[in-house]
Amino acid sequence: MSIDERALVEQAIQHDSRAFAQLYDRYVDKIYKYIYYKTGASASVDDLTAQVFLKAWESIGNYRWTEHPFAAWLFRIAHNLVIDYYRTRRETVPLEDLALEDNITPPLDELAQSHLTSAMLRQAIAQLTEDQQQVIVLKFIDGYEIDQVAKLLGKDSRAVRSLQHRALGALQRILSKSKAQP
Amino acid sequence: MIDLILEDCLKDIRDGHATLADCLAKYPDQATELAPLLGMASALQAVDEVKPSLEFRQATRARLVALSSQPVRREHSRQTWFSFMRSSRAYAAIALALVIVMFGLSAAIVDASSESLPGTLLYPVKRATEQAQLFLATDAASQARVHLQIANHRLTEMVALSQQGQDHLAEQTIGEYDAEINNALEITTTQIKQNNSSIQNLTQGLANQQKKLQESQPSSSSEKLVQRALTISGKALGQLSRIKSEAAPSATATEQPTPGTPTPFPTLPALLATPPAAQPTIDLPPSPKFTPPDRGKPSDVPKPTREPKLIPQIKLPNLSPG
Repeated sequence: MSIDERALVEQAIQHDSRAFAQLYDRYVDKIYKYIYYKTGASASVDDLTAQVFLKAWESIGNYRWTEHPFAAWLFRIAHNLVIDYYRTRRETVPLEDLALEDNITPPLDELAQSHLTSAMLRQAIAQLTEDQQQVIVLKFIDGYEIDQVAKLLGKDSRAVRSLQHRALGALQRILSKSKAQP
Repeated sequence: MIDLILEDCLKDIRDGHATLADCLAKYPDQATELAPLLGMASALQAVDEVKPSLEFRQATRARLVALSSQPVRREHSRQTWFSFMRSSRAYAAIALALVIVMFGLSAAIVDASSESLPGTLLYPVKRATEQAQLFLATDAASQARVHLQIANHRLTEMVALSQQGQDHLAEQTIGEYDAEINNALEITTTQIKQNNSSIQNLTQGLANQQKKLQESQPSSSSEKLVQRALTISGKALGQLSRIKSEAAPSATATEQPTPGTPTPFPTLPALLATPPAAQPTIDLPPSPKFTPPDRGKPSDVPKPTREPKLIPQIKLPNLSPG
């Protein structure tokens, strides 16, 4: 994490609105994408994204700079809001719908050759485990490095690499299955 | 081991040091397992980029800056704030203030923008006002109502554009009408088991739109567009009807209707109670002139801001949060 960001966070803690606005500019796209891929209802993405920053502003005074980056704190707020969203607004997905079929032969590069839309990806990501979702979104959608994802999630890099492996495999199987059943 | 190899390949491909084929050749024993994983990663890089709209970014930023000039709210003051926000007049007033602050415009200009059409100078102000209203609609019923109002705007614009012969913009507008109706439907569906008034409001709003469309006496050239709007609203009404049928048993069980009363929502005279702002109206000119080309459905919302493109190789964004 850069010194620049640490200075901004320290200023924001003192309720410096310009500093907080810069942090907002820096993270709004990432938080928006994170929420988009973690929720199924597009109408809620704007609202939840705004709530993340409003909550962050309300509680920035409680934030203390530690080894965990500011982004981790922000994503934690987003994560908690997404969980609340599912608790209150979305019906539970039956477990059988989440089961993956292991006997599907994955078509080599077929996915790369056909265009994957954000809507298709969102539906597929929703079928991953919670940890797998986090890794796919943070690594491949938000563009963080493995080490950064590990810090954001509070895990070690080895565990995140393993999650990345399993998440890509699961996602590939889900999308292959959906392609096979139009 | 495979985890490390996978990450090694992803990095090499991202940095342009290797292609997918190079990686598979470099690790022949793991090639079978690596290929679909790298293919999946490659597909992820080619997915449409999703970004918040400029209007949303600006509105949220303006709200944050406005809030930051006040003391941090406590729980009791938040309740007062949200009580105030429930009023539709409060929505309109604050949305107006937000747009004025955001764009440095006078209230008269914002008001004038309400009649503007796509492609005109004031139209972005109109859209920003709508986004601000949506942003300030904190509960589902209000959000659905605002989406319905916006749908109403799109219908009015569609007819005006068709009169001007702006085929492409009229087609875009009818697509946005469809998207707004879908948004209202989606929100209402999630609320239906808890609050029947939402579906009543949406049903009535759609019925009003249908009535106006049917009374519009469009010219032969614009008949197709009007028919398409009727199909969209009719389809939404059909969906609402199905939702009502499914929700009726639980609703009647809790609300204890009079025996023999056929209406599925006997306890909510929502149509009469709905405030004027929740009753969408549309003024359709009598003789629109427009011949629309065929066009598909609008894309998923929120719309990606980048054109979809296929990237043959993995190209991770060089992005550092620090």
